[in-house]
Amino acid sequence: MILNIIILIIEVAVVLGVLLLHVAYAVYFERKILGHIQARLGPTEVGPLGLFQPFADLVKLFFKEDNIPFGADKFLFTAAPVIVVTCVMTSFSVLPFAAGWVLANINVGLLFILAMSSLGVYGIIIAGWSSNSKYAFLGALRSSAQIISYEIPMGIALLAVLIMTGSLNLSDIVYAQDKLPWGMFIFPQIIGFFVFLVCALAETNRTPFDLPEAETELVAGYLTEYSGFRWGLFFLAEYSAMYVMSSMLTICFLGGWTLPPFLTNLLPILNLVPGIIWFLLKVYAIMFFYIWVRGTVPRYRFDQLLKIGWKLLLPLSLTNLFIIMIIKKVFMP
Amino acid sequence: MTHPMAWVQAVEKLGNVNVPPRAKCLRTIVSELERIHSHLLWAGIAAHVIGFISVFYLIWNSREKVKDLMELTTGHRANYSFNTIGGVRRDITDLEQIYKILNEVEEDCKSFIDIVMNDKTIELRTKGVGVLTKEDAITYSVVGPVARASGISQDIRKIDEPGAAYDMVDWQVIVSNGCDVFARVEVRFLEILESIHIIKELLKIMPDGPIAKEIRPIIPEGTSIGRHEAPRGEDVHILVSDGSDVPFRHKIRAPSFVNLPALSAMLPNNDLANATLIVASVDPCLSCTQR
Repeated sequence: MILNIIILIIEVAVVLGVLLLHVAYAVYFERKILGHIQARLGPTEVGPLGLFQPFADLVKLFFKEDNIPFGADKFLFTAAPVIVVTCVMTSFSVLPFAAGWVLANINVGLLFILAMSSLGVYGIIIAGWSSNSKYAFLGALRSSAQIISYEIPMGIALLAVLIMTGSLNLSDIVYAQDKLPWGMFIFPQIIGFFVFLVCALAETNRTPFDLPEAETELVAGYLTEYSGFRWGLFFLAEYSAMYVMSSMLTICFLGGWTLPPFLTNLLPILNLVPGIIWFLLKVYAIMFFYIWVRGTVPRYRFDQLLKIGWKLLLPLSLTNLFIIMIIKKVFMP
Repeated sequence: MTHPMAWVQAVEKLGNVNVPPRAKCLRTIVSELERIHSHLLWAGIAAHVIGFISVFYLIWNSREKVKDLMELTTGHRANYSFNTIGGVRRDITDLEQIYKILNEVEEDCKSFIDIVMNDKTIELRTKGVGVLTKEDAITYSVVGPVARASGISQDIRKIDEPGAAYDMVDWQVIVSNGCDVFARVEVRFLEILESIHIIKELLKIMPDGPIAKEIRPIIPEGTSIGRHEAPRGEDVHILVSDGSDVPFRHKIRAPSFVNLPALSAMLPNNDLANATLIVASVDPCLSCTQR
């Protein structure tokens, strides 16, 4: 009993440690790629190729002054970043990184992740409200409206995955894809994949939907009054959320840690490569897409953003659901 | 560059100074380079305002080339000290390099125009935003690209620049009838191309000869107005002289001073997100207004 708990704690610590390392290098990855897109070099100074830049940033954030603005609600102000980070980090406990590599193999994994991403909004609203600043408050309002609007098409896109699988367990979703000859739900759910991809951009407040922190309009949105390590926590949560969304896309549409069976039949040697490699490759491909989009698209206006969510993505996701229902009924009874 | 241009022209008018033609051409070339750099700077900021950071970097990279060209021609990157009463202080020698950089900048600008004019999101953000109708533009008497984007064909370069060589080449005043932020973007980008055209034509026909009057004139008593089409619009310098060696009074009216009040016609009934864009679209120089 006690041994089990100790093993679990070690597992959690390992996952968290590896995850934090990945998040630190996601920032480096982003700055480097964005730099090259924008005809710059990105970080080069700290260590070879600037590889130690994330640690330098971390140390800097640690030693910054811990500043709570005058008139702010102290308790909520300090609680908000903790809520956001906790919600995002908890999502990782149900994500399967490879066959059997999952902390909590629960039957409602999909719902759990949706619930956690919804709960994270509380942290953002509290952050905006407790800062006692108009920019922070406006940013929080925008963020909550945006995340709530985009959660609906996202949920419906996942509903189609659910119909194909018949299970909310994320590992089962991957196994169900492995049974298909092409090994991925992206066919025939290409519309669902697209909807989820766009919604994931909005859910994680990434460009072109980074309105909550549009610096030319709202200074830094709900982050305006945060500095030092509290700001660092928000940053950590944002990049971890990118990993959650990329992992969800990989698991629900790209076959998780598995390869398409026709590929493994063609080249049996690919079976020797551990599943985690394929999983990470897929996740990083999507992360690269996120960064690429940030480098090529300008920001939308808020009314245009909500219009895209309600008038374009919602009908698209419903269409997808309808198509999948027919396919399931006719071809896979 | 633009303020000295207006100032020396005011003094030259009062002192009846004839500027040598080569000096006129050099002045025109450098003030057009200044226009290119100013418009590129503005375009970069506008891209930043709508969150298009990549284009911001690319445009400012291109502006850096123009700055290098400035250093090549005048010896300075920002405050050129190029004009003097009755001529200029430096001659251009290395034409090869100038042509090379100009061609690069022209290529860059064409690709920016391609990006900015054809991007759906930019169109969504700027079309029909911050409308300044022709009537309003006349009421607020706006100048420069803001006026030309509201359909008013007004350009001091065509009217009153005796000290520059704008009448020696054939060029167009860029006018757009769009009246919105998109039109202001369009006008400024096309003006960059037109400026490059002016410079290239002038380099071809530039005559040889002295670049400045050797003897400084004595300025008589009187009043004169010097005008120059700055990148942001008409720049006016008024000189009152009492016949001594220092001006009795020198009044400057920068273009932003008349362009900024027009915001009260553009801003009503707009979103917060549009407000920053509209304010940026008149290219405000707040320090210029306080003189």
